[in-house]
Amino acid sequence: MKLFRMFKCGVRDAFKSVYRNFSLSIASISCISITLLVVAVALVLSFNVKNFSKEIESDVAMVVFLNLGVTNEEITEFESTISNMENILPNWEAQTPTERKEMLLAEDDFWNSVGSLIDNEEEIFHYTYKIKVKDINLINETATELENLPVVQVVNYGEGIVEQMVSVFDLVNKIAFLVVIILVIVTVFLIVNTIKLTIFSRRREISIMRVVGASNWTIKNPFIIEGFVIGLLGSIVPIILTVYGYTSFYNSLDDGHLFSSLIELLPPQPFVFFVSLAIVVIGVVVGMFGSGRAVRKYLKV
Amino acid sequence: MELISLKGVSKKYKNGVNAIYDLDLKIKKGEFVFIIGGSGSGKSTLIKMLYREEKPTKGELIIGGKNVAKLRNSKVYKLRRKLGIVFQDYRLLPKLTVYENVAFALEVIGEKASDIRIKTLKSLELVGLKGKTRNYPDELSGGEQQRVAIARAIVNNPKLLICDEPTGNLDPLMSEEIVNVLDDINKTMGTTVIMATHDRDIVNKFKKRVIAIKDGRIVKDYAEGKYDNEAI
Repeated sequence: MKLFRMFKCGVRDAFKSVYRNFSLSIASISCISITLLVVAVALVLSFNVKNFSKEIESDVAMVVFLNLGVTNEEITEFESTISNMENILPNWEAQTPTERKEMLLAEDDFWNSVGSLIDNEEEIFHYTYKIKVKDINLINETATELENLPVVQVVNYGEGIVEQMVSVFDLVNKIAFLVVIILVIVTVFLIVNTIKLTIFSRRREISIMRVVGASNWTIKNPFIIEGFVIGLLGSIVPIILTVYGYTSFYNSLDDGHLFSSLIELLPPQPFVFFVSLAIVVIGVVVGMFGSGRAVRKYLKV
Repeated sequence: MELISLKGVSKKYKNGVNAIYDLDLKIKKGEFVFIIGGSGSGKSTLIKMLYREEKPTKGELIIGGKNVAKLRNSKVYKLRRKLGIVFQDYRLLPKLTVYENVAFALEVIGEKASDIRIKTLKSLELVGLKGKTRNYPDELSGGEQQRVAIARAIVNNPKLLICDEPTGNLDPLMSEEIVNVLDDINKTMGTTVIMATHDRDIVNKFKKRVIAIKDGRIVKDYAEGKYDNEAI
């Protein structure tokens, strides 16, 4: 009961303090708003790059050419082998020599002109498989494993390019993540500093609280709640800008395609709500942590 | 029975300054004690150790049966709730009214709202400020402000009232008024009062126990003392 009463006191004092130290509170809130806005932009970028690279990665396939003139038993054995391989997705597609010939005839003028002369497809065209992998980082190993099978003649998967692409996406993702982390740390510092200003102007009050026998927890409590309130208020503007900004940006694009049809942005819903939630949580947690740290100095007896 | 007992207490600050040397002192319940001494004599350090703002580097400092010298920082508030402290500069909150300033001391220790009201008004009545509950500190005279500070210090009914030069900022008339209030509290509530001062007239007028400190040592301890040149 007593704890609850003191917590209630803390909440009341926190709001009172935000109101009383209005100009300082506005300074803290706007500084948090600005950093949270940058965090929001970094989050939006990071998730879109992640999504985009995932999309592209899922499109990367390798084509396995079996030896010419493979027997049906060899084909069945090969199919059961790839079904058991861990890194291979089960949605692989097989193409018989006849199907391959038809595909080439349809796609290529040269083959079209000579296609009618071919009647022994099995001796010219390979049995092929279009295979997608679960983990694109392991595509090299999987390809080698397949190439080592006696029934396989060659595996094509755009060696080099795929790996380069994967490492570039990986790097972009890591940088975006790092930016978010750095910004969160910067926000902590900004909050610690601005709340320190508030606390500095209230160190008299704190010293009196200590003199009359307030416990450290009682002194800290309103400041931590104040940090919570400041974090909460500071996240309002970034959230509004994220929700409306991203949604209207997405709507202004053709079906969410940026620059080319290759780059597709995440649809605003539920993405913006997720980012908003992250912003609120970051603002509130960082606000509480920041003021907790800032007040600590004044609690030493 | 002793309320305060110091045995071999020394205090050396981190910068190497020795403020108190091997001090022994006993103060009984219900006593009124003046602690006198010039600037840098160590009387402020002694007062600060009593409310555990400073920690003795050596010795035993027992208040109400507990060794304050060994009290952990996070537990200091438990001691402070049993003490009342009055400072030279009043330390009132300018944005709170007289009533709120006194009630503040009870609010931060989680007292019930109904109790806060009763105790605050009673305390303000005791210092003669019942008519000024709605005023702000800057609307009061120095003496009145100090009386608010005293009301705040005694609102929790402490066993010990520590005053660090409470009349330092006041003219002789107001000073006497303040010490009268403290004397009243001492007599009517049985509160032990320890007052550091260098106000010669006050000490000579009230004829209480006087402990003179010089260079960190007790040089005189009069039962019904006076402030003379010999004392310091």
